[in-house]
Amino acid sequence: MARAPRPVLAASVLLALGVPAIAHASPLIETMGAVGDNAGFQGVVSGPGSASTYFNPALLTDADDGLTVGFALISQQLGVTLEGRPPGADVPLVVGTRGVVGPNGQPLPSDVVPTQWLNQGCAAGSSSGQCPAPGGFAARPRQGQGTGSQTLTYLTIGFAKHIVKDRLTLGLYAMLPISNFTTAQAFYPDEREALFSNSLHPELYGDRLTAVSIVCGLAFKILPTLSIGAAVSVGLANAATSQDYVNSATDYSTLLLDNKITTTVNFAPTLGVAYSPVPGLRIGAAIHAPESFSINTTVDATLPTGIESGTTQKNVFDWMPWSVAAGIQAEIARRGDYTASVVASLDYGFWSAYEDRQGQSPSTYGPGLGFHDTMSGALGLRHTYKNLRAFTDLRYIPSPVPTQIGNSNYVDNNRFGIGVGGDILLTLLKLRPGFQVFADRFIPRSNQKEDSLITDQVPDGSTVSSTGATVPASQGVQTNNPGYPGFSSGGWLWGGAVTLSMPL
Amino acid sequence: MPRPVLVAALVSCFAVAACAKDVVLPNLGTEAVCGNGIVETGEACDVVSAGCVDCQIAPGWTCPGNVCAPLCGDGVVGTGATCADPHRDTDCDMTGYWAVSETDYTCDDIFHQPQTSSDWRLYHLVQTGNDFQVDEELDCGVHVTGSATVDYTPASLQAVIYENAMDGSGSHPARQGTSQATAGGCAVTLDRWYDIRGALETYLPSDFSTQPPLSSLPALPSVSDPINGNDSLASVPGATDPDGDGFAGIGLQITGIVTGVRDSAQRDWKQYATTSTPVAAAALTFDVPGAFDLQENILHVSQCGTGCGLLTTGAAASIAPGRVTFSFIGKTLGSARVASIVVGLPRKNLAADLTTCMNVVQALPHDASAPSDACPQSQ
Repeated sequence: MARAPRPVLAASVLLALGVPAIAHASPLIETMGAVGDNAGFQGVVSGPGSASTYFNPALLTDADDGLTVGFALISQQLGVTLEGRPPGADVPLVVGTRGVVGPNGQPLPSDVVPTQWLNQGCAAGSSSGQCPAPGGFAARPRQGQGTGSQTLTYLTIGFAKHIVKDRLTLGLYAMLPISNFTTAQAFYPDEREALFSNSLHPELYGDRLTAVSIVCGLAFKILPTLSIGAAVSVGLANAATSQDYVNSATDYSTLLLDNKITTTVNFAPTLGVAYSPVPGLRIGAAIHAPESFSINTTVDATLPTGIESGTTQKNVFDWMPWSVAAGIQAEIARRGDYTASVVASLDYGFWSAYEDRQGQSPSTYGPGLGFHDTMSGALGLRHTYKNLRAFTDLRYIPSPVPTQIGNSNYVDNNRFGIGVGGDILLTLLKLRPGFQVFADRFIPRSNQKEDSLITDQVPDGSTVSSTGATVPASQGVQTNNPGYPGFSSGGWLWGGAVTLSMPL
Repeated sequence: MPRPVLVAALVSCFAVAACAKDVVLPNLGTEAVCGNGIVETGEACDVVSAGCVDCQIAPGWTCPGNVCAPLCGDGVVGTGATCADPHRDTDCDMTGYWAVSETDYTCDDIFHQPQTSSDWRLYHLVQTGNDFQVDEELDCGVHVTGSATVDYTPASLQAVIYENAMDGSGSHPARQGTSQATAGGCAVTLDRWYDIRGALETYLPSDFSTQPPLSSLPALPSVSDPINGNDSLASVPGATDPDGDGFAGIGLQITGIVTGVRDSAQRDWKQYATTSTPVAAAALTFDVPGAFDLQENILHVSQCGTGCGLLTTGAAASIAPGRVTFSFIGKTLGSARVASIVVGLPRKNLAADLTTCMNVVQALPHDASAPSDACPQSQ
């Protein structure tokens, strides 16, 4: 086996130094598509180039040796519209006294707070209707902290290098966020989120587009017409343990903390195959293993009386399912230096096993509310003319999220998108500059809640403990669920990249 | 696609994309919701008060700023139709019905945070000369706030309403007090009274007037393990089960940073007296400072999940002075003023007395504030 040439080693070292705390491949790369290979949305069969490392590593055997760097941008513009709340849906102020019991005699859970506190806050003070000093309760207006709109930029880098000519090829592909570097934002998809942002957030975008994405792989040509490949997405798992000594439950500035964080490396494999039975025809397929970035946070609190209490919370970010993709590219025209090919691909994702950011399955919200598997598809054209290459792709990505009629508020939409791009080989400089843009439409979607499926946070017949009086506003459904009584979403996802490829 | 068309398509696409934003639509309808604490269209008030019935101001009441107070009549006089500057029609005479709230402070033994306790009573007082005594009385329950919120369970609330009778119907003479004119107002005292809950009265002094400290009295019933121990009534000598929940002690419901039910044996004493500062003569509502002491043994904890350990430590009385707040209701049972709170002759009908107590609690809302020295660090 030949030694890796110096540029390859240099690139590897560069990437190693740049490996951040969280590294993942799929959510970001899947959204952006292949960058720099003229592969568009159909990297499973089109290209090939360094991005094939992720989409179908078997294609690496047909890639040119080279290094590709680029600058990419993705703008997520997903607007959420919350419907007006009906009369009687507010949690009444008296609940804030914490002296309200349900008809079963049990106190209302402590996470049920008056709706007015969320909308207007609760001033600190000792008068009736005020909250204890020093802090009071800060307002959290509905959708005041939505995260549907953001624009992110990335550095892309990748290379392909034939280690053994016509036999073994090494590939690496990475997308590194430049702004909003690696954010992991947990939120609850139900009424519990009212205590935090009191907002709905896109389930499959947002922080998922900030994960550093690194994939490396190998391809082996076992026959002149048949190649296989394998790659791994590098991911990390963190465990954080916080040992706390609670001097005062009402003054956390006196909290004593000992934090311990451990990180382990995970690898999510991808296997691919490429078959070219005749010139101008290629069939490719790949299977991606599931991956995610998990954080297990353990809190062990000790109280001055010696009482200890602890819990472990699991958060899951950037979850991606098992997926199987296949595609075909066929040359349909050749006139002199011009060729045209048609490309089609399908991708089946096993989203029914989804784990949300709180590590729970959406199916816990009730029958029919779990995610479902999806079949995505793309169709496009590839053109080449002398040193010019260009592509046009259309894609449709159905949402795995069912209509949100219950407590859950998973925000997601079907997407229909178009991508175009091209590059040109500058023969004298041996450089290949290129560009590509895409725009996906989040097809507008409306969700109407069914009262019978909504948790009534103040059950009918609740009473005030100190007086035994019935809470008059307890009739019907009272909830702080930010998505109640319904919400809709729609918008755009667009982006693009400029690239420069050079020989190694 | 021709280049100009492509550029135009991309520009328009990006322009549309830039418009995407979140929207919160206005709430539906304008229907007022009585009981949500907000005075809305069609409501004259929306507050838990006897003066606010179905979000309309009750006869004989006024509710400026959503805080209700009764108007003139039956021992209350004022100026003009709005009864401005209302006050009692006799100085320093305590005769009549009173809503009473005894406010005291404890320090919890878990976080060493102040807990503010309101203990409500209905009194009918009869004054002769400078002395008055409790002629009728209801124990209307407690509400404690702080690091945790404490209330009687519904069964306990019904159980304690007639216990520790201060009207002389029990084993002790009626509670006494004094109210006499002095320079600048009235000097008021309310003598020491001992209460016990969840244990036999034998754990109280036989003669309250000797004023023994709680520490000198026989130790309250106790158990070694309130979480897992055998704490049925029969296994805890001296304890009672007034709420009938099957566990020895009085049931207290705790919510907030810890949640559960605690059955305890409790006893305390409270006494009040004005100091050098008298109360305003003929005031409708006034405070008298005082002191109290408390002992509590926890006999059983339940419904507390993994936090039961937090419920096994009790509270200690604070050195901060407490106070009793007297709020004059009226003199005559059946008058509009009295009937708005006292719905029947006390101690004749439990349901009526529970309603009366609810009105008393609403007339004197819990004040959650605590003095800064309620839990000094040295404690």
